[in-house]
Amino acid sequence: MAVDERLRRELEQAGRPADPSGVYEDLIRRRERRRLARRIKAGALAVAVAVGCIAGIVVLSRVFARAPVELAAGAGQGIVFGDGTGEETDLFVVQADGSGLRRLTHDGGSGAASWSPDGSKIVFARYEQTQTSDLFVMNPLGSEVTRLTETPGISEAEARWSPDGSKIAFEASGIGQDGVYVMDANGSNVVRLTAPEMDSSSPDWSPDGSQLVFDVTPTPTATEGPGGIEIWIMDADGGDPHPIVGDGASGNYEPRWSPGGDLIVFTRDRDVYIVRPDGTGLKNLTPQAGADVYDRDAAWSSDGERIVFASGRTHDDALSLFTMNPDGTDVQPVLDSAIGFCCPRPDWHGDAVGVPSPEPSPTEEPSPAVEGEDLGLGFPVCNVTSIEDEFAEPSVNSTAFVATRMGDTGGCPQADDAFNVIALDMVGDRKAETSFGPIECTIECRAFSSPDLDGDGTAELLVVQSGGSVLGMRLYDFESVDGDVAIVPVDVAPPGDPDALLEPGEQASFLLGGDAFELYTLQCLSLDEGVVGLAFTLAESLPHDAPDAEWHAHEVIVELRDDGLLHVVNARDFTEPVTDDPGGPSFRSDKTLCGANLGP
Amino acid sequence: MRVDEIALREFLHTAYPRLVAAVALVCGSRPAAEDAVQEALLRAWERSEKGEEIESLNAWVTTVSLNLARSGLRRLRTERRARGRLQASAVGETGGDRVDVERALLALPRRQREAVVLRYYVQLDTREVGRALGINEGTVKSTLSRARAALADRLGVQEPEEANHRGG
Repeated sequence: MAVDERLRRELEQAGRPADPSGVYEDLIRRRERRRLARRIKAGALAVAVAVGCIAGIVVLSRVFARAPVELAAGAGQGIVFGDGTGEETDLFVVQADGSGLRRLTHDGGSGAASWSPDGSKIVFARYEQTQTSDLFVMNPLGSEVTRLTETPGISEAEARWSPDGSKIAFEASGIGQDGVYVMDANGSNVVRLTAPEMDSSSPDWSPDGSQLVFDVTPTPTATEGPGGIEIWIMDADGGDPHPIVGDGASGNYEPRWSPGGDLIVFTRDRDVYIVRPDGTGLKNLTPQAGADVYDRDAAWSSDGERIVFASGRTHDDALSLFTMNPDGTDVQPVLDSAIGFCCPRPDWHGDAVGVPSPEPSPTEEPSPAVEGEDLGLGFPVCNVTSIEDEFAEPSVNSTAFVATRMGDTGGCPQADDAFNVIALDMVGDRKAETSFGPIECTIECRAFSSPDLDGDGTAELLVVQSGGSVLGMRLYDFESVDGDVAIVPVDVAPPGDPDALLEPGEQASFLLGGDAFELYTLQCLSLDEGVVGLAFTLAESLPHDAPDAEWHAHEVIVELRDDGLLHVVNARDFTEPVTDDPGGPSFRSDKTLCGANLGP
Repeated sequence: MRVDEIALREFLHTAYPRLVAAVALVCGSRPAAEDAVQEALLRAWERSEKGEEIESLNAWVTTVSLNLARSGLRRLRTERRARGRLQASAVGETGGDRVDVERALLALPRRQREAVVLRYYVQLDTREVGRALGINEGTVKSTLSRARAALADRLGVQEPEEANHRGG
């Protein structure tokens, strides 16, 4: 009774009720983003999208949508990983040098994948309407998906093929079901390997298939409290389970046995460690990134020459993929972009030898030279992107920056949760004479294009303020007032066109990108008397992926007038057949917009 | 019942504040709890829009948000964050009942933690706890019994003998 009373009293004190204000509006926004994400069924990783080549996206997406079952050479190689940048997680494959990125799943709830030994299949966990995960198998193109488990109320995940391909080890979680299991590769003959009281997960096979390494969360004792997580090894039939790593305090997770069998790589707290199977030789491979930086989710290349891992070293709390030597040297990025915090869990099929170390392309780096500088804003910035053009006056170049204010502790926050700002340097000293902010951004925030929409000889600025396979961007103008220049959001003049997302009185925003089913494009037009117009088209191909599909398009033509407002001058609906023309539909975007480059 | 704006707003102003607090007590992370409950609400809304019947929004969202906070990929993220937060609080705070009970709670196995929070904070009876967690009432009682014993030891409270044989 004393415990009951104390629990009620102290839990009442400990529980801090949440404030519901604004949550309904958040739900609305979340639902809209979800709807959009579901419609966007293909496309590459958000920041890796080459937006200047919309036709390329269309062609690429159509290949995915109609993927042939016969695998091309090399399809079964690469690093499979989960991207959780948005609210959902899907699986992608990329080569270690960053090339060949392709999306495998589109359901928003897939992760924790691993390759079959011959590279012909990928096993993965998918969350369905039951809210728990089951295991599925697909081919390396993301098709031929086959269910392996169906267990309402129990989640299966972290599946790993045995070296001979005949069995799959996995973890399960659910009331009374936590543990490591093994089954035949077709999903039959499920056997629990760990004792019911042993909270164990993340199994991986020794290269000869005789043993499994896994992590164990010991049942806490009253005196020790949460005592860390340990790495254990057992025989493949569940016999002789014994710990090899665990100090009672640190969290040791997700071990992966090296192809040579002599080493096991795993995550300890926020670093990647290595240890011999007998528990000796413990070594931190990632001390260089600092104790506060996440380095985790390590896996071996097939030849054991490299390790792929996820790290937050370049994107604050969001992770990206890197490779390194098994001694922790020669860390190289795989991707330029972040892949969220949730669930990268990469798995690598293919040898690392012969893969050249990728050098970051200077043109894709967001002006690293000014990272941490304050650009005259009074605070240091990061995520700096810039465009040079005639923003303030004709024939005089100035530089428009879009940047994120650095965090108080020096890290670079994600754009979603940061003070993002536009700044204009008119004299070329990397100090802004004028600025505008904060601007709200989702996923990413960057200077995008500088078209001259009103034909006055100076450029306007398009800023990407939401990322994804469809970019959302907003329009800004630069107005001279008594010798000063102000950065002004361009609003839509009444009546606008809500069907084109141009609401009167709201800032003008456009979408760009899409896939084989839904496409958003921008084109510059010459209107009467030399006036420049902008055509914004929103199109959907119906029926989806059918031979007789047609684009059902809504096009709106807008004009930026002297009053500083964006006026809708024409709107129309039209259809045209979906063809295999590599150039894409008639309304495809050009690579420039009124002479200004689009992207990256 | 139909899940629409009225039902959602009513839920937000009645059940939501304490449910987020409850899930936060279970998973140790306030942001993760808010995320799980909001996600569960959104899924209920979308299901209702598709014509699916949801008998009790409170019960459905409670179960689903605990599942979301518990299961698989989200569990990994949540528990990692919880662990970091726990270590920070252990360094930054020198004691006090609130920290004691939170730490003691997070030291319990997940199912015990969930049962304790639903029983003693959300104040469901053992039958309702069982429905929310998908287990029978007898299992709820034995789970609570083990949890009480562990918490009594951890908190330095004497657990009466008969409590080990009583249901919640």
